[in-house]
Amino acid sequence: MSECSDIVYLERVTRVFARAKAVDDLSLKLKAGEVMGFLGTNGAGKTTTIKMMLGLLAPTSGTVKVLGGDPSDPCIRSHIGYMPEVATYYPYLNARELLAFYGGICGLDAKTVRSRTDSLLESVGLAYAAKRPLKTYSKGMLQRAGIAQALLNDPDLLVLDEPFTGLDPLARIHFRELLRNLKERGKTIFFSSHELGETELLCDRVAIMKKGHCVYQGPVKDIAGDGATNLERLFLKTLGEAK
Amino acid sequence: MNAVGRVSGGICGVALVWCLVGFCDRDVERMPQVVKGEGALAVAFGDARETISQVFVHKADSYFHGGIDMECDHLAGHVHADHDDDHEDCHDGHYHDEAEHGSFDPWRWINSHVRAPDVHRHLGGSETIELMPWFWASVKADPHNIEAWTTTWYIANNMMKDRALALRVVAEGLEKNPDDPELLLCRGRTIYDNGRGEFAAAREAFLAAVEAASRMLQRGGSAEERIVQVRKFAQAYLDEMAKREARQ
Amino acid sequence: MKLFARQTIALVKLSFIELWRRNDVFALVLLGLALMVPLSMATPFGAEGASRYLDEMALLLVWGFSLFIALGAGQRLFPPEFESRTIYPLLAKPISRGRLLIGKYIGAVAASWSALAFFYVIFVASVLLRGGTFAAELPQAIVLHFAFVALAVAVSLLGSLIVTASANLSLSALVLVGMFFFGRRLPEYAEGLNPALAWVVKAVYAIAPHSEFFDMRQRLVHGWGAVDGVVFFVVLAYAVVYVSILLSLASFVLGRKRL
Repeated sequence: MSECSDIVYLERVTRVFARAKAVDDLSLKLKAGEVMGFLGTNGAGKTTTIKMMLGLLAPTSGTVKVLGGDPSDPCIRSHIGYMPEVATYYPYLNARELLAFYGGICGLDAKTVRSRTDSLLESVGLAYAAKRPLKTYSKGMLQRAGIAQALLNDPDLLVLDEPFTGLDPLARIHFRELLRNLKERGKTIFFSSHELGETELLCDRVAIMKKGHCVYQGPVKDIAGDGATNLERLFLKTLGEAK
Repeated sequence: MNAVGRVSGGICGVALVWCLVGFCDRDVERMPQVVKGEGALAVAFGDARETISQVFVHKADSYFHGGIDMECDHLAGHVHADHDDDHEDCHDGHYHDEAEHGSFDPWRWINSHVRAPDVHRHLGGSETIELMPWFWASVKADPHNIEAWTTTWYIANNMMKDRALALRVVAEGLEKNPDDPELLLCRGRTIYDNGRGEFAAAREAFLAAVEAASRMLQRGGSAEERIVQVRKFAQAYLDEMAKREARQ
Repeated sequence: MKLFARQTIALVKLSFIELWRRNDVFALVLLGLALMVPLSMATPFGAEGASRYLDEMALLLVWGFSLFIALGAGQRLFPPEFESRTIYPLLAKPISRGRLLIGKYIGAVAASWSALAFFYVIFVASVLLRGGTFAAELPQAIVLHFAFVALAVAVSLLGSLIVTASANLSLSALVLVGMFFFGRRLPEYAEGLNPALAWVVKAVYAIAPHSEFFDMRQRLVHGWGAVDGVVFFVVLAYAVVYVSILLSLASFVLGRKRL
């Protein structure tokens, strides 16, 4: 498969911070319509990789291409939706105003923003609190607001950093359904997570990071469900933690 | 409330800067007075009251000059209307031509046009009421600032020609500074000049001024020469009154 | 161009909502009224008729409040975005750092201007209520004050990208207030200093933002008349050039900031 047809194309990417390699020689490809789980312990380089995919960080060496172009190009980013791990959104806005703000930043016209806002707030379960200031939101509600803003521009690629953090069980089920619907609509999804169960349920492929290196990449169907090589065991094994 | 806290902090900051500006602008000539039991102002400001008081006098002075700060503002057009000779030295020292400073200074050029009027005018007549709030603030800050009291009296008595106001000023001043010879002299002059022939009251004030000045000179102090002048002046009024009575 | 316009409008709205919902402006107005109402009722030595001191104090408060609002608005543009991590989803959207900086600056200035306009409306209303009149130079004074606010926001914005919030607010206030009161006297101070110190003072005089250029309070209070048109536009040009330099520096610093 050539790099042009890959939605995400990372080739021998290295990122160095003050002589420490946060990401080391990472190669990763993601095809259209795929869902990839990005696993690893804290400090493994997941967030750094995501930042490079979004053009927020430049790689020290290697090639990063997203949707066939340089992610630092705003035109490319207009087709990406991103939800950060933890964000305390503008406390003086309400959810509706937050989405209107991000819609403006995406260059969407007011009518489009309005129509998408209604359906998004409904789908993330925030319609009942749409007019409440965000400073009154719980962590889970903020997370849902984050999901809504990531989906606002109807992105081709959805990048989610720890999306299940702070969600209650019911919200997790709703969010899982939401991601499945997006996958059915042909969206490409890349998410980092510590939730191995959710990853196993959602992903086509997983990549496991350890100290900046990618130590495993493969389809979930090869490892899941037989009781012996399920994702949790694989995760522990690849990180050298298996008993 | 958080916002109120921040705002209050800001106001305090502005007030501090205001005081600092005044402090830096002034030459503190006298040691500050500390008078015990003078209420909240004394507690809050202590020795700084005298400096604050002088800041307000300075402000009143700039009002008298139509808003020009005589210590640092430069006239744009160098046109001077309604100007008395008392301030000539001051002006000579402060109105600079570019030639004096050598090369062209664009910042000075802007300042001289924005922060100074084309024409220098003094307040006169009823307009001088505008000076009163600043002198009032000055004597509130330091009730022992005799110069502020007497200047206020001068404005009321000589410029506004409001004898009642002048007497009120002197009465308030004497309340805070009983037996001050300068204020007693001011009272005598107002009574004497009002044309109602209240000579007895005027004589009483002049006599009190002479006696107060004599007592003060016996005690000694830094303003000896000034007190001598006050006594001489009060005595001259008494002599004139005596002559006048003799003629009648 | 359409994208930039929409992004700018979104950022302006964000600044407006934040400023007016924080209630700082209303708290300032209440504080101003609490100071001015007793002052306006005062009759020094029982004499009535003085009004210039009221105008002067009200204008001083308007200036102080506008500086407070402008410095706060500039300070809040980027550091909270980094602290709350909203900078990531923001920059993951189709907006460059340069455009974000410009848009946010315009938003902060517009919001601060709205607060300043509100302060002036109250000032004008209070003068009219006292039966006072306005000099013809009022519009000119307001325009220069608006330019000063734009400058103050830019100073605070640059500082917010370099030092901590408290240091930035203190330093920005010190520089702007210091120049406001002492700026025009710096050459005189320099004359009495040793050569090295004099050089430093002269450098400050040459480089620091001359906030005193924008101060027409004395003209308003004492009715000096309008500033010459050429000088007025020179001062505006000074503000534009100074703001451009500050924003260029801020853009450079933001561009190098690691996310």
